[in-house]
Amino acid sequence: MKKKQKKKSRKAEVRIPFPNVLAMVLVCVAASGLSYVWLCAQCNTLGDEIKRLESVRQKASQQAVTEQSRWENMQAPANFARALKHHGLAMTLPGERQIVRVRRSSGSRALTLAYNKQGVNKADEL
Amino acid sequence: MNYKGRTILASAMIAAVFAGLGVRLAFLHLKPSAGTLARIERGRHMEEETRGPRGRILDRSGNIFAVDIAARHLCVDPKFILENGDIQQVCEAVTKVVPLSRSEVWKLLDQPERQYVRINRYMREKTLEPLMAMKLKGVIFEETAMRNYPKGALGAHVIGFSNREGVGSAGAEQRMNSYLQGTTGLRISQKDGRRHEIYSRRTVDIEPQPGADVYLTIDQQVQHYAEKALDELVSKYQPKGAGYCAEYSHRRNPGDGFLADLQPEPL
Repeated sequence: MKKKQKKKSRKAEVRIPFPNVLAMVLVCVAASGLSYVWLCAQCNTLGDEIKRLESVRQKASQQAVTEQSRWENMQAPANFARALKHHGLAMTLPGERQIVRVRRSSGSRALTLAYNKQGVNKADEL
Repeated sequence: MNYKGRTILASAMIAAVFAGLGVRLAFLHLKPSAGTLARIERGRHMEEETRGPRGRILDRSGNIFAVDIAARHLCVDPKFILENGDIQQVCEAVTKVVPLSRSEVWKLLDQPERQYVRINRYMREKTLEPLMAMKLKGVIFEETAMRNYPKGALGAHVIGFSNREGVGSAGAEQRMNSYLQGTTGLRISQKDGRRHEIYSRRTVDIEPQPGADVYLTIDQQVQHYAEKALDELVSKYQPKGAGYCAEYSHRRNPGDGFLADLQPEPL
């Protein structure tokens, strides 16, 4: 009798599909939950990175403007003259004879020497 | 009560506390009341309005005459410093970078009831760098922008100036104000417990647009020599008033000369 009962109960246990399905469902839910959490963490990390880069970009552009302003200040004629004086550089504007003007001729794309002191067009093609 | 009874009672109380906290958390997460939700939303809400930088003013060759540069207001939280920081250290460090005496800085810091005091406005970042590196508690560096004129007084009567609110008040700054002014940007988002913005909760992000650049017909070299010549004439003849007209003629298009500058020189 006992043997028969045992056999019956074992058979009954095997036949019940519920634990396997439940396990699969639970695994799926856990996997989805973990994926969701992982994706959220990834999004947050990316968001932090974007914010950090935004601040870096802003700082870099601000620094570029500040440096540009400093450079313009150094290039101001009065400051330029002061710097030349400070370094003892006696510089004067070149005479007309010392200037060689280079122009792009209207017809071709080549550069030409336009004119000398007297304004005579030499048109020496370079 | 015996030892066993006390242990059971303590365990039960701890369990009750945790159960209460759990229930509260569950309610907050699953079904918070409208009032609680509104309070949380209010605390998290972040709305920032930022103004785009004012446009630049340049001469005909692209030399910058006016530009907005980054600056900072140096502020402190005296209450926080007195409670958590070192007021002596802050006073010493701040005195080094501001044009105020130690006693004046101390007077500003020694206000335990106040949470916001502005020590100095519109300071250059380079000046504040050593102070920023110290990372002192309760010292705040507010970001702002200030108008900078890299050429100094050159062409000052033509360029004019803009006031601290970023509105042109004289010269080209005033005349071209509508073009020079940048647009206001808006960012609506949420912040976390540390008051940092949560990027994923950003709902509105409108970038502020910088103002348009204005190119003038003046030339910095011509302007410089014209001003210099005028100064010499003024010192020589001592007139009641003087003005000059610097005209630049375009070589590539003969006849395309234009009036570059006409201004009275105040004496």
